[in-house]
Amino acid sequence: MIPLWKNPEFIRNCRAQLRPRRLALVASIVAALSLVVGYALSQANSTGWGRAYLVAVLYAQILTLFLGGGVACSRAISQEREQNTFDYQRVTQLTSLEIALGKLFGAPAISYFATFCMFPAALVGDVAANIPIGRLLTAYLLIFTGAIAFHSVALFVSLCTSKSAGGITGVWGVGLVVVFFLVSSASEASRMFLELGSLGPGAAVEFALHGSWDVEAPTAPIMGHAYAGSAWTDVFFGIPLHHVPVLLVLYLILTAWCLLPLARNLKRDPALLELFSPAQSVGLLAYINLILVGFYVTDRPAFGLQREYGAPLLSVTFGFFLVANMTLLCVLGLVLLRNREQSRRLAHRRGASGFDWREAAWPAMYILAGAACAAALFLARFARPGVFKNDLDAGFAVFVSVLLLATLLRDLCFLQWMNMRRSRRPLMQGIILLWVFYFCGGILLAMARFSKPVHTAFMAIVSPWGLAISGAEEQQRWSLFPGPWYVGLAIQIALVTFFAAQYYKSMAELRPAALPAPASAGTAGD
Amino acid sequence: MIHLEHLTKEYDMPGGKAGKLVAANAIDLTVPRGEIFGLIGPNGAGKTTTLKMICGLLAPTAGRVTVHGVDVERHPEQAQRHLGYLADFFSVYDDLTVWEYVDYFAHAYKMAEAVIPGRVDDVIRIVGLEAKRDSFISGLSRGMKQRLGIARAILHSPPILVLDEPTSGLDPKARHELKQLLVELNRAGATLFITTHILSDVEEICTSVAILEKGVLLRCGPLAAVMQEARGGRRLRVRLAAPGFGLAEWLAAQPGVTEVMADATSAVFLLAGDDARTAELVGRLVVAGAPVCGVEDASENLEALYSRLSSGETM
Ligand SMILES: Nc1ncnc2c1ncn2[C@@H]1O[C@H](COP(=O)(O)OP(=O)(O)OP(=O)(O)O)[C@@H](O)[C@H]1O
Ligand SMILES: [Mg+2]
Repeated sequence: MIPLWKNPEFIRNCRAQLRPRRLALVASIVAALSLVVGYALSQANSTGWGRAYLVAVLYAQILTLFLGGGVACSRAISQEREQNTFDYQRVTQLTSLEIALGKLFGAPAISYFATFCMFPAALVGDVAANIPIGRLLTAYLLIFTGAIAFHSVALFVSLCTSKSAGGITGVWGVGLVVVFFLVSSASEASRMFLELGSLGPGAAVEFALHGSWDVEAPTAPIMGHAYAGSAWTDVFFGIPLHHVPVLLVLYLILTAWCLLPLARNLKRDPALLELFSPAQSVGLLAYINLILVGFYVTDRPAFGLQREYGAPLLSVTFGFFLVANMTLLCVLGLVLLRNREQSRRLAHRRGASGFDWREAAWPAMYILAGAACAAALFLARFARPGVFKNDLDAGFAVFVSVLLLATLLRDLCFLQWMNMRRSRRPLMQGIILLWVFYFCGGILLAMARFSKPVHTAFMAIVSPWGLAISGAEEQQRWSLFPGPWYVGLAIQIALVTFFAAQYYKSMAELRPAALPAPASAGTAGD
Repeated sequence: MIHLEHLTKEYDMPGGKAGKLVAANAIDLTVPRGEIFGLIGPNGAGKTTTLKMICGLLAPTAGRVTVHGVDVERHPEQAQRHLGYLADFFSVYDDLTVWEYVDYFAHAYKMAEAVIPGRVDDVIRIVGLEAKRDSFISGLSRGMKQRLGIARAILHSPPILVLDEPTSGLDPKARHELKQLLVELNRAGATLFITTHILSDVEEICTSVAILEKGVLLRCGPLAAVMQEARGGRRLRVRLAAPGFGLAEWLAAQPGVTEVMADATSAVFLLAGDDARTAELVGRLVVAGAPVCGVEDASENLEALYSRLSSGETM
């Protein structure tokens, strides 16, 4: 492995971006802005201006690094593909990981430079506000680690948004990142389910201003407030931990999870992109579940809504994990879907001997494995007496899980079949069709509400997703009329089989036709 | 050196039509060490596809490529160490200077730190870009970019060069120089695998040739052998000093002579056999009283051969 400062890809990026004239321009712009803003603030508010200035500078740095660097990284690979330069990188001796690291640190070079140019201003603010320098340095550690994590997500998105990958996973990536940062920057909201502080870069600014190193576990709810104790304390499997190291570790692991698919795929034929191996997908799912289970609040009601019950409810926890895991499984399923090219190679490799049902029902096996993992973690952590108030019927919980899983598999197998169509964006078409199906189904479902049995049957067959959150009411309905639910499950399984058979058929079409006519090819030179 | 085994690449027909487009149809091919191997074929024959599979840039649908005994798909980096590749599109980083560009690839090929500065200057000189050493690539002409690409391909002195239409975009002088360079590299021990549309180039420098059409190898082997085999003999032209001898009838009556095309004083025909057969035939013609004033080889060149073999596709 080449060290970063010798990494040719890193050096190339720096050379291209950090030309002296450009550096001078950026430095003078930053200097001018820092001076003017600093002067204006000190005039407007002579006592507290240091703090205000520091916050302004820190957020400017965050914006430059996260946005500027993020955009640079999210274009780093796709742009190179468009320029045709990527093939030349792929034939060099650089490993995928070396290229990825070179891009990760090299593509945002100019953003890093602009951020460094703002250091003097931050220092002035820090001194004026009388903030210990250690806290500012800790904040910077968080900002830079967070930026690296964010850039690696952007680079991962760049890998996915090539033309051949259909861009669809890229859309997912961007969406996830946006959701992640929106949710996490509101720290109160993130404390709702998880005993985990804000994950966004705003936490760093907060720490610079008000941080403390005290670790104090939250106690039972006080006066309707969700938690007490230090705002900088997270609780992982009952162990209180300081938020700063937790955040650093989470950032680093996120970076690792993003670098993994880059190291697997950068030099691969883009038509055969396989972001994660099936085993890694299951591993990723288990990791996210571990985080969720580990940080989940256990000794206070998770939702504000629940406060009236006085104690945390198992049904709420179950609903939370069901929704979370169905979403995760759906994303992982989409990632695992095979495109035509991958199916074609498989068809050729297997030849006439064909494939078995596990191939046809792709990616069912791995979805089931992931679900089993998640269920095991959930049971190991929460299915003990005394953790929650047990208001959940075990039979119902198992049935709902199985029914939703079957429905998810139905949709994934449908998409896998659709993904075999000969068109430019087959997966997108499949998703649109699915969306139309759910949209119409939703309207009809709302209309069927007037008649309970019809509504139940409809829900069981078309779209049972509401079951995940509507807890007690549906639980009752389920125990009153179990019949339609079982019919619903049977229909989902039948549909999975049907779609799998369709995929199998289209795979069979890709098989090589007998033996190709022997070419009149000789061997040169002998 | 390069060994293709049943190499197949299938695509979907464009525009969602049924059926499949076979860009490489179970190609079996061996390119031994020291050859200059020319792959020719019309647009869309599958040349670029085949080349990319050799370099490990495209994964074959089926079949296998080995370079130096290394399976390209399984161990791409190990195989690519032996390969220098030039794509049919030139594609360079516009925001680097010529020197920076070459230096980047020298490091990317993990050449020894000590030899890099010298080697970088060497290849820039070899392709004649010394004057542009510190200019930005965005300011180079098309041909200069092509030369820069060649500099990149030969930079790490690979034993095998895989070049997709290396002469395209070059002026006649540069084309000539490039051909000289390729021959020199070959003499120095490199094996070359090139595709081109310019058949005279193939005849000039290639030692072996393969004709590809619609993914199928039509002919393959040493240049002379391919042409001889395709002709089924040698084509001769006989000229007479004066009309009056029934050349066409006489020739048609001879064993081993086919495809006679004659006018009053000359004829072109195909003769199955070697030099001895030619001498014997000419001898008999003189004895028969024909005023023979010239016998010459009327072999068709590769271009004619190519158009006869291919099914009406143009290059
Ligand atoms: N990514 C792709 N998707 C679908 N079809 C493709 C793709 N790439 C190439 N093809 C098809 O494969 C066939 C072979 O293309 P290829 O580029 O190898 O031809 P070529 O012999 O290099 O032609 P040229 O002389 O024009 O360079 C063409 O019919 C082309 O349309
Ligand atoms: Mg081509």
